[in-house]
Amino acid sequence: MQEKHNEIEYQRWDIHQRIQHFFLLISFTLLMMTGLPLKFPDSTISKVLMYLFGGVESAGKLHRIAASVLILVSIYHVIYLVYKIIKRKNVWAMLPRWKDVQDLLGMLKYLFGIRPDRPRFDRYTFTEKFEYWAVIWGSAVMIITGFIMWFPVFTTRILPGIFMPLSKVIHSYEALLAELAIVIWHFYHAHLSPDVFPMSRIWLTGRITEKELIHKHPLEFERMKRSNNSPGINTNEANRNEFPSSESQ
Amino acid sequence: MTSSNRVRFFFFNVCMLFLLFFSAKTYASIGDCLVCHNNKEFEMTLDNGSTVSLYINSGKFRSSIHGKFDCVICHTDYKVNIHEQKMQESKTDNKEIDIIAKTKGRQKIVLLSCINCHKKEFNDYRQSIHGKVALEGNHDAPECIDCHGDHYIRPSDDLESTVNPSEAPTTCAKCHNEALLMARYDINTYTYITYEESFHGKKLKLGSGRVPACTSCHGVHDIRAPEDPASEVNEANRLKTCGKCHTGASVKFVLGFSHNMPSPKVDPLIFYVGLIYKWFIIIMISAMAIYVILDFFKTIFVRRS
Repeated sequence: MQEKHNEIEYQRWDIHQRIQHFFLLISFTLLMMTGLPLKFPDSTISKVLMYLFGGVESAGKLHRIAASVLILVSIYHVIYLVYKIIKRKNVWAMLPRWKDVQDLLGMLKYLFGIRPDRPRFDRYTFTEKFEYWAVIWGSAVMIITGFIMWFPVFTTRILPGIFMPLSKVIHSYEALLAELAIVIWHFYHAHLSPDVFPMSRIWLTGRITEKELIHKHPLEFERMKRSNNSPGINTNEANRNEFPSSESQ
Repeated sequence: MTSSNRVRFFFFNVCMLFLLFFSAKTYASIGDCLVCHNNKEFEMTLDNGSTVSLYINSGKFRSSIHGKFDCVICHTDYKVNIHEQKMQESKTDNKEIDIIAKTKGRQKIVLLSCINCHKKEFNDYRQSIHGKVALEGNHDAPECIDCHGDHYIRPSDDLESTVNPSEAPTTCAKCHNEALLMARYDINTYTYITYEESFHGKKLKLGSGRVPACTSCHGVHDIRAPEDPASEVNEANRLKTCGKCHTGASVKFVLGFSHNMPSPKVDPLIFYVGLIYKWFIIIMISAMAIYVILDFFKTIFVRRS
């Protein structure tokens, strides 16, 4: 335990990112619990959930409240990004690039034993980028189709009527995709992977250990060392600097 | 006469009086019928060899809306001497006898039983597509008991009623899911499944009392074919029908509702979007699962060695 305390850690998520993740987690879970029963109305679990939420009508209200939270988180995220761009912080590391395709192929070769070492990842691995963009895409799709169904009379003043059944189909499939992706992809990388089991604590502390950083993001670590900016922080120190390599260009 | 003899004589007389009272009755009371019909094994073999259960669950009957009635109020053909008397039509006036003249057998008995009291419902039913076909003597069309049940009819606001909104889709589907029956009238059989898949249908299944069931839009006793200008779901009346719940519904809004089953020809946009999504999910999720499993075992393997 003592040893762990002296381990060098790096600040990776600032407080805004943690708040965004927390409210995304809350709203996603509520949306899933109140929405999935509609997809599987014959299941006993659905009936139990409906009972717990006080009936399908109040579950519907809760779904809309959670949707509002998701919309607010999305707005928060956009404002956060705009603020960072104005402050000339580097937010572009999340953009997909050709190296991500090479990394995916490299990772597959490594997993099948064709190459001996893991690809060397930068600030964000392709798995993280994939998840981020899936959330962006999924939220946009769910918010737009959800809005159409929330205010059907209003939206059909502008859009053709077919958009209502179409929205229902898209909302239903996209929800299933998002939920399965969370359960398989996110839960693996954040919980079940032997590297982080039982849970990565980045969403609470915002920090990762030097060991984990070198293992997962070696290119970023090397660039940081080269910039010689004393980026690491000892967890015993009160003073915590921002992550220089990622946040400044 | 000793005093005990006098008591015995008095008792005998009282019994005789009771017997006289009951035998003077012109019809059998429910108790008389249930002597046999409350027996679970009571059944009848038909000419074609099949058996019909003649069992009546008296408790269930008593708790039904007609539970206080005697059997013969509806079973008018069993008025005096049970099981021998021909059907009696005395209580029904001639106007209605003419209307149901073409019906026969079970259909006629049912209609005769119910229209004695339910004249308004019968008049609505006559106008409906079901009624029009049934009154032609066609046995495919439903009469009262096909939807309402027979001995255990409950009021429509009772959750156990077969015509309560929560049960209506199942009741209608009894016929409307029958491919052979529907094919005779060129009616498609996916009305139920498309309702079940709709937002209304899913919420109804989860116990919502606010969503519409079949009868909310199509009418109750006067269900008409959609082509009928008086039908509530005729294009001319849809604004009003949808507007009952969706205040301010526009023409574009109304066009969003249908029992269409998306296919390459009907609503192709919805069909192809759904198809693409389905396969995208299958491929994407399988790929994720395979990657995750590989990564898991590789990580463990590398750590061990």
